[in-house]
Amino acid sequence: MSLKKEYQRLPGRRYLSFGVSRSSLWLGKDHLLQVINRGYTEEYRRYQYTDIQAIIFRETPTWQRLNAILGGISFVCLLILALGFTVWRWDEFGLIPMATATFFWLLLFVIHLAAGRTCVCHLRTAVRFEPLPSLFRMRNAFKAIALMQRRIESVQGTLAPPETTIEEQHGS
Amino acid sequence: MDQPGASLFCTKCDRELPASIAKPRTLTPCPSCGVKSFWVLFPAFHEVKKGRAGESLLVDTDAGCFYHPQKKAELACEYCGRFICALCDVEIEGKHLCPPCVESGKQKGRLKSLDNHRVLYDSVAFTLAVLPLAVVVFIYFTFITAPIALFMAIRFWNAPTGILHRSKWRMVVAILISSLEIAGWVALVYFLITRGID
Repeated sequence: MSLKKEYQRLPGRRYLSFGVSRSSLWLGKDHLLQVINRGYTEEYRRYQYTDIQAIIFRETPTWQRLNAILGGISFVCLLILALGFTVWRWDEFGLIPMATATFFWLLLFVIHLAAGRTCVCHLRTAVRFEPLPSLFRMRNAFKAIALMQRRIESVQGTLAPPETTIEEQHGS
Repeated sequence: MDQPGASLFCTKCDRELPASIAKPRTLTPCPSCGVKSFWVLFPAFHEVKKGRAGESLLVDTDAGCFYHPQKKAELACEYCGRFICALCDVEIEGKHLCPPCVESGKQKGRLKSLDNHRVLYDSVAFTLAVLPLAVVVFIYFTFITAPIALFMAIRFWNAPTGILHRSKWRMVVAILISSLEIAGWVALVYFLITRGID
């Protein structure tokens, strides 16, 4: 088996410490690998499938809060731009920088809106309770958990009585 | 349903969630803080894993563990061949090893599954070669960084990079650019010297 195929990438990646490091998750043959890339070094944490007891999400209000902030800034920028164009009669030296700033904030707002709700995800073993920072968007977390669930259950078996999978529950 | 010590609890407020309320695989609001959690439980959650203590010697003819002479040897370490008891047996990558061999295997990099840290020399060399060019103010630093980048790229060409697949393109770019930088400096010095002589 080539090195390239040894691990399967899971959805989700998160930049931490102001972009200095990034975290990602990979499915291995018998373990889940968490990679924390710090630019010039990589740190690895392995979780054997047999040891994983639970995966826990918690919905966070970050998405709503950031939507309110970014939406508010975008709205104010649009308002100033509209007033500058119609009421204050700005020339192009006023309009172009304002339009650029408005576009920038609107773009951030749309990207954040489209990225979806946020969550915090933890992985529980008998001795550890580890955060999984790469799974911080619900959409990515659901996809990643569905893949992890399949792999872990192929090793541990399923809990009886069989329950619906995360994919079935959310219709994705 | 729950075993002692394996309880569900809210990851926001740390309050314990009663098993009847915290249904696995359903978004469940915490009765204390109201934050919704989503639990995916696996059979290991309900298992009680007990460590093996090692069997005591029953008769004098039984082989004893090298590290615990009073414990019965169950197998031999696959690296050093010493007899070890169940307590000393560490199973890694399908091999049964004794604790000192695990430690030395980790230090010498023989046990890949214990490798938890890697230095990305290719990224270091690439940055040393490219960054001073990208930030024009630092272009004179290439006098120092270019030889270092070239040395690192050649010295660590065969060194293991990340566990995940990484191609050598950073090393190649670092060698090319740092060579060009060194050539540029040599040309500049030569030009200055010859002009000074004339």
